[in-house]
Amino acid sequence: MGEIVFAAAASHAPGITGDLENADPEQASRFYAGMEQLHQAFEAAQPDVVIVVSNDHLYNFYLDNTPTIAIGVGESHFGPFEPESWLRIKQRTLPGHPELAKALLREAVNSGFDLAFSEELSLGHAEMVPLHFITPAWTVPVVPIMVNDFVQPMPSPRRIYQLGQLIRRFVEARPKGERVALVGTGGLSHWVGLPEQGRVNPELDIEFLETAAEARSESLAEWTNEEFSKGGNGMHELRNWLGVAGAVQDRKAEVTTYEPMVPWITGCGALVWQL
Amino acid sequence: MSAYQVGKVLHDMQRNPQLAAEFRESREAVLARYDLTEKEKQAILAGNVRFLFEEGVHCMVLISSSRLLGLDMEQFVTALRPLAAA
Repeated sequence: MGEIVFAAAASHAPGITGDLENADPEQASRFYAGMEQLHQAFEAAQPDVVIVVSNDHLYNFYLDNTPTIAIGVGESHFGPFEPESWLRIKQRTLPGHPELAKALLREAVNSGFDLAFSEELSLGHAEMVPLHFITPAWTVPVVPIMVNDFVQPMPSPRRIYQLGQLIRRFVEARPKGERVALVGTGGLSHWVGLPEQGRVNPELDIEFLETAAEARSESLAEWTNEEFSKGGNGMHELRNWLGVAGAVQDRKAEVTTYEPMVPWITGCGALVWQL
Repeated sequence: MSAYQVGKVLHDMQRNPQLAAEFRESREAVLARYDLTEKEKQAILAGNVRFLFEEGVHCMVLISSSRLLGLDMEQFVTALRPLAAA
């Protein structure tokens, strides 16, 4: 059977890589140190593939076509679509894993999860910012799963947690020895494109992080839209973290960093599950 | 007012750099190809993000198009801030 060898979640705010000038250097340094811990753990795990649970920012999908959950089954993925001058991550083509992605898609559909799919997902800061730290060599094949976190009606947090549970069952049924990494991205609190942009909610962020760290992520899957909205529209991205939490539900996690980064308009954090 | 149509124009330009470049050169000509009201065209030409936001254009499309609309991030946030909840 396959094995989940790495499971982590991290913020993906574009300021993390694109706006060093306005950040407090000590805060930024602490955040980067926390991301480096994820990198070290990823390298030690030696995964064959990384499944990234993230969200589109209405780039791949406008309102003419808005899948609830879409999996990228392409041979490769281009990213970031944002210019290097803005995000400060070089644009490149990353390897995909079409065999695993299509097998996961089939398993999902046969299990009652009506996933959409695309042969041509463009990756943005939602995937590339965390991967920039976690897998800077960019050699591990990537399977992106994009959750609709910004257009109502969004899938329930419980549904994405269930997706994580499906991913676990899928990995355990994979060929013996296959090593799978899982990364959830987004959050924590932020208001993006809204009049309240610039606010963060550290209290809510820490509540979320501590609950996840104590292996109580299933309770986070019961949070309502109103509860997530107390952390801004960007807090809804934490559904993506639940897509990983569902796969490792009985495990505790180490919060490697949390900084309320106002210049980056986001409560920025990361954690790694102890497998 | 069709928030969907306005958002579609902005999204098309975000996905198509050539269209965005064309817009920078000749904004009225590009907008003329879309089914927009005069009010919508004028709001886009004026970079009136507050109007577009209040009319229901998706915030993610608006913020991603802020530069095309002639605003830096500070100007974008300043324009919307009067609408902020307490």
